[in-house]
Amino acid sequence: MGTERIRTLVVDDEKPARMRLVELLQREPDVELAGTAADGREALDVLRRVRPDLLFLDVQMPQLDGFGVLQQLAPDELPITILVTAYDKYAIQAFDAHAIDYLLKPFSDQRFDDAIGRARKYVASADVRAQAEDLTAAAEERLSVDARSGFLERLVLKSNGCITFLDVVEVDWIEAAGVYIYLHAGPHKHLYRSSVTQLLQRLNPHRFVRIHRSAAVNTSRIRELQTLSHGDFTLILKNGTELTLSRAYRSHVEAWLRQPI
Amino acid sequence: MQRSIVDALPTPTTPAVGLRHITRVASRPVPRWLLVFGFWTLIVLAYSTRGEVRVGSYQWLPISWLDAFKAAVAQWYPWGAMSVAIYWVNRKLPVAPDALVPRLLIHVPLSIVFTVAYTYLFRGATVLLSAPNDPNWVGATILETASHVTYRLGTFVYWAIAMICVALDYQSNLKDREIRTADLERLLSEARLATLRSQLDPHFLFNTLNSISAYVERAPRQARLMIEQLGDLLRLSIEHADQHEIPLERELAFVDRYIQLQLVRFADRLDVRVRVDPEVMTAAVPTCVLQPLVENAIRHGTSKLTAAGVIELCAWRSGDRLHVRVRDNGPGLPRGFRLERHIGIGLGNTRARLEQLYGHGEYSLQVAPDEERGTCVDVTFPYRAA
Repeated sequence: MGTERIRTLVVDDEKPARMRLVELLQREPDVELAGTAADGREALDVLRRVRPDLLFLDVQMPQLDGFGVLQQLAPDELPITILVTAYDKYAIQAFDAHAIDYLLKPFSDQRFDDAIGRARKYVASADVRAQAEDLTAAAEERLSVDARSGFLERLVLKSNGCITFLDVVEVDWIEAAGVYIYLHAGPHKHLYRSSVTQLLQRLNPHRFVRIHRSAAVNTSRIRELQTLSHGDFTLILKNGTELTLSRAYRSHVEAWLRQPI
Repeated sequence: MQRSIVDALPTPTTPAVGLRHITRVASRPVPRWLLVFGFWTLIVLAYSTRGEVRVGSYQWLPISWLDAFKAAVAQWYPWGAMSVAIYWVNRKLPVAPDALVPRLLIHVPLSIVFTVAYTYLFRGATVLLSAPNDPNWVGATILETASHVTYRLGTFVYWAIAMICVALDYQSNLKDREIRTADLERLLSEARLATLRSQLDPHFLFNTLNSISAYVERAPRQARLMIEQLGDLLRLSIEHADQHEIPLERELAFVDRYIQLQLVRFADRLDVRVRVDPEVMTAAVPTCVLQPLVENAIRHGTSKLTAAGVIELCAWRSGDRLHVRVRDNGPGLPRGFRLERHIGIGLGNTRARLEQLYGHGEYSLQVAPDEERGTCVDVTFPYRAA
């Protein structure tokens, strides 16, 4: 592993973008440029033939885009990947949720240096499997964003090498837990890497409303609201769970109800 | 980033009429015929209270309320009925609503026609209702009518009605024009914003900057040229700010910058052919009309292809019309595409502006599959020198 160079593949449909990355990579002494591809199909082809250690993958490409490519690859076919995008709000949200490394176009030499630095660490640790899971999860989530409304329809959860899908409609309520959140769905609670705020931005605001600094609720699960003292309320869900609606978020609920409470 | 650039630009001029007032009133709260009927009924009722009728030059006879009412009906309702006709004729006059003098001149012969018609209606009504005959109001023949007080009083009523009609028409036309100007301003602002948004279209903007970044070291002159082109694009759109129409030459210069930048991005995958007759360079075209068409062709056509895409932009004159056509060889229109239902924001705005600038039926905008593959957009409007 030590003296071997990092074999890298660059995939982007726009020639200047390929040029940019190629030029930067050629300056790195421990990197060997293993090839380039100009679209998704070509990328799959070259990837399987060359088996690079590192992949720079553009998201927006005609016909088969970056996520399409990721979906088509088996976990052991996925190299360490840095995704590249000009502008894709939903992709970036998915990347953040699954700790994917990505580059935003146009990027400076410095930003590239940081990214390749991180990639080196990944390659050295040979922890490819964990990243492969994250990549697949991010791809699945991005693809589950409803094309018309732009809202997330499905969440991807990872645990112990297993990927599970959770439909957004199945979530009863969301609870903050440090850097993560718990997604309560029926009797289960699932850990998901995100903040309450970040997740709510991706969800339909009519379906999920924030009730507390650390909680948000699926509106279809609300059974009743009871007044407490000091302007707080108790929210009771259909399954009996009792939550507090804090004063600070009362206006959120009023906005959803379209009437004062 | 997007928001701050838009904020830095000069704001579009606010329309003369507040947007909230731009509503085409299709139905008034009280139907017009009811108002007219009510008005004339009031007059009838007022006249029914006079209590007596003149039978000779200085002779007066007392009459019952009912008779007075009948006389008033015979006297005034014909005017009521005719006021509708007068209003209608006034609207249909082949004269501009603000050309008041010609209008008044036309009303002179009309006054004679209507007054004569009135006398017959009045006579008929008097007979029908067996209302008391007021000799001052009816003559046996047209000539007698002409020399009677009747006639002069009759025309007086006619002119009163006609003047109200002219004033109403003038007023409503003024309002229409205000609305149309405001509409045009609003549409132009939207077009400018839309065009700016498409230059600020994130993909176009960030990928163009990325392309520049790629050339900065290996081909600095090329990089600086692209920076200049991007700057020109933004400057031209700001300069065109208040103009509804500009010479085709300038619109093409604008589109050309856009195309040059896109060509760098798409390198060997894009070929743009521009074919414009030199003689139509001075034609007046709506601002911000070509670039959205080319952008559409690239976005829905070429960028979806992995192979080389070709876009063709043509403009030519045929008779008194100017034709503009943009063709691409992309995947073509989706199945079941119908312009009415699937028209996008950019094209919708273009069409609305064409409607406002040239009027209904004077322009055309068509989107259809191209001969072999791809899409063809055709825009036609009156040829005018800028």
